[in-house]
Amino acid sequence: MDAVSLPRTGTGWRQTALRAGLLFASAVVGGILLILVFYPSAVLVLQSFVVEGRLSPGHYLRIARDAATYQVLANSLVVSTWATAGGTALGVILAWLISRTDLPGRRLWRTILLLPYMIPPFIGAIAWVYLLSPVGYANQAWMALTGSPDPLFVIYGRTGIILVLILYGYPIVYLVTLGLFERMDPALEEAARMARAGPGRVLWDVTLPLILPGILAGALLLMMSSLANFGIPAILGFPARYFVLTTRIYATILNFDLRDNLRAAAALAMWLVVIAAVLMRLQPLVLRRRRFVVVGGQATGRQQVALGRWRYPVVAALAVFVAVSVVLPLVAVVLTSLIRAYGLPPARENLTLQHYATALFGIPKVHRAVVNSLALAAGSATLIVILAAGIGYLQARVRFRAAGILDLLITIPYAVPGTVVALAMILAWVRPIPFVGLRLYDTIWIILLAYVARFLAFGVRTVTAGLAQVHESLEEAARISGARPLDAFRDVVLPIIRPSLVSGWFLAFIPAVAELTLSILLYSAGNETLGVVVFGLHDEGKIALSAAIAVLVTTLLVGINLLTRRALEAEVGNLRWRS
Amino acid sequence: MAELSLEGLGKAYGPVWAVRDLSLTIHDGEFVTLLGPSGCGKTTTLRMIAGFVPPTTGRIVLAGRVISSAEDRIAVPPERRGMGMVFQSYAVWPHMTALGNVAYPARRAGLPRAEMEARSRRVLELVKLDGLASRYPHELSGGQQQRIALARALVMEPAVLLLDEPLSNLDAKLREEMRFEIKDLQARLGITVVYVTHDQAEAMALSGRIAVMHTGRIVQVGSPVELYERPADPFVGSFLGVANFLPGEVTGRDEAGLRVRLLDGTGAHVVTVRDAAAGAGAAAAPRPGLAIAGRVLVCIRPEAFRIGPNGDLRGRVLRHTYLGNRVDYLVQLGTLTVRVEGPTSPLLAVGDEVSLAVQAALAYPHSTSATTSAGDSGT
Repeated sequence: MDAVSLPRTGTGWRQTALRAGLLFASAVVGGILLILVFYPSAVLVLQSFVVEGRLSPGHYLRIARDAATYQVLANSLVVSTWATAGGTALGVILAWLISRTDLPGRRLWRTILLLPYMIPPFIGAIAWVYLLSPVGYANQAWMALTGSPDPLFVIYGRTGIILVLILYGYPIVYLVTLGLFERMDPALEEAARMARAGPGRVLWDVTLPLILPGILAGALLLMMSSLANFGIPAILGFPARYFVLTTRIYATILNFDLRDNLRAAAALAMWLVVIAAVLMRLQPLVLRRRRFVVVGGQATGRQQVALGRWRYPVVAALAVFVAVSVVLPLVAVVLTSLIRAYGLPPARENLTLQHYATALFGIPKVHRAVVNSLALAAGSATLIVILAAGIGYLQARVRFRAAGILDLLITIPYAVPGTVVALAMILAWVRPIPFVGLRLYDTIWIILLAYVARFLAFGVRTVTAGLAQVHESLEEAARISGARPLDAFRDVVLPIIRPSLVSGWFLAFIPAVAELTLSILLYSAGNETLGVVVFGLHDEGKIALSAAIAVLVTTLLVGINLLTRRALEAEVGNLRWRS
Repeated sequence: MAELSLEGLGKAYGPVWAVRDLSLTIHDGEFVTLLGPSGCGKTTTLRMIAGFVPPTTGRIVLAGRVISSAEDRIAVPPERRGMGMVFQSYAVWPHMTALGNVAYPARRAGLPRAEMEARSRRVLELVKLDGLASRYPHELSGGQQQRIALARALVMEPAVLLLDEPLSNLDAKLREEMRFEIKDLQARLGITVVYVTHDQAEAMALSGRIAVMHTGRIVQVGSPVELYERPADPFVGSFLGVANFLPGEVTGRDEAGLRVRLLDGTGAHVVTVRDAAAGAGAAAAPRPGLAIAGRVLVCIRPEAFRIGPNGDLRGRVLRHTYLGNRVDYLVQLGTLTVRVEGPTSPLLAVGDEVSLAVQAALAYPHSTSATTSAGDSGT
């Protein structure tokens, strides 16, 4: 539309205004994403090539010459590969048991198996320390029972990291696979039964091949999340001097003796970026290779596999698994938080609620962290939902030429490990912003910015999915009924996507409440978050106190998770419209 | 008066023209159907009328006022066209009750609360949903949702009502019922209706006039009778109802029409046909391609055959399908096969010899392809 041929009529002007409005909105969204994601990414890459003020591949060369680099890289790959293999196997088997067999109490198991998903991984790691550190409860019990002078198993180091990664990672594959099993058109399997295949054959010949691409995609997600995890290798690796990429980058950033430590860390971070990028690229390839058939069938009336005499052995095995993987660690944390001093036997006279009182009222830092974390989580979730509604709506209604770039900008901070995101934020905002003179680093705002960038993808995905439900004709029906574009948005689009806005808000809020990876690198005195406080107290050896806060945080998160899950499902159920 | 005219309307998506040079005048109170296969441009045309798609060429004039014009860059937004529309998906808002849906246009028009309520209830009554005003769409059947959509489109008494395949999501019985209801409503309210469908039976049952569309153009406009009895080209003939198209050669001409020998390998089958372009009288001068020895396509409807002892054509029954009130035969005529509709008695068996008389047939020049525009054959 060129400026020369200005529209002559009022109605034409209206069209132009509408288009200009959309253009303006697109520009605003684009600008925010540039500041939020593109600028820090560019600074990160650029700075990794700066040595003492000059462009140089020096950091890369030094890293490449350092044998320790390859050790750390190998550690990262070994740990995340094993965690992925174990988590995927566990997730698929559990999903099959829950969705396709006549397992007693499936509804209950369904939720219980998701519990690890609701607990922040680093708190899980801390729980396992209570159980399986050389003086942990389980090791003490073992030594007391058997008289053995050696502990049963020490959680510190590679094996421990892998095990804990599996226990807190399998729900990713479990959730994906559960969805695949439940949404598959039963007729596909019934057809195989009619072709004289037994239940086992059907599973092997029809079901698994059909959902395999989906499982692989879930496994890739798990791999990325294991590779990016900071809390578990930090808690279980540092005591054994066992480093992976994320913890090595963390150590490099905090190594103030090293010249150019931030830039050296940036060069190291590129390893993680490259691996994450490769895994990201694999995702669409995996899904494209075979036609991904998950026809929306009715889950009702599906014939379940009868476990027969295996019914109760399977239930028993599940119960043991849940007891060991969920109940035991939680009990350990609760117990630790109630014991007067860590190391005392859990006898009645040693129990106290003192630590809770101290946590909540005794230490100003903890009190501040509660306020900070809740404010940061709520603030970032709100900003994310607003931004996501704008992005989602523009993506759905304006056909962007740059849609791919937009998508990439949203995905990067989520796909790239949090440690790298935090580093990029430091490098981008460590100097005062020109003209304004404001320095974001060392303020709470840099944490807010990082949270928004990091969890934006959750919001956008959810809101986009909600908008996909709003067929364009619903909006058009409003227009032809006399609604101007903004009326149609307010009266039709907004009410319909409200459930997805609410769930998008919680999806961003929940991981932010006990966020550790970003906060630990970005916090400053007075701006501590809950994750930082729990991690810090644990590190300082104030075990009971950190356990008490961990109990509070976990209770809060599991509570919010269970409540919102139910509430959101109910709300979505109310609006079961034709799409 | 709400006369709606489309003048030289065209819509291009990149290099592809979805609609091209389409002109049509829809008179006040008229029920006009845009009929055609999917992808023929009928829905695009309707959406241009509604104002959702800006035309690339041409203009749209409603009651003397230009509401869309590519040249003058006029585009009255949909909400200010005063039209009602029923969408294929119904587009009933899931978060509003039936009453809320129907009342929405009145709300947007700023009617006082009492009048809004009264109007909405009146229209709900009109579509026989008065008992269900407080229900939400997911508590209603497809047919009831469809009625909400209709009521919502009618509540502001629009000058023009647009319907985009409104019955295609309903089951057969309900579809027929709704057909009569829509027609009845239109007659009672006297509004101008533009109706889009790919279902020829629906178009025939409802319309005052039908515009048959193909690859973005109008092929023929006319009443259902005109279109069925005198299709302007083989496309129209085959799209409306069933028609046999048989190759033939013109051997003579008299006052009854052209004599055409069917090219079925026998050389013995000669039928009398009318020139399809020649209207009712057969006296007009022969068109190019319909001269003696010219190759033609002969169009014969299955019901235009009569099975009897002394027909001109002899064949053999290949297949028969009993339909209760009649029988659908497939008959071998030399190297050709034709569909023939016959009475249920006497019932012929597969392999029976049959003799056929042709009661009505039309001829088209053999080169006639479905894409050539036959122009506006008038009303």
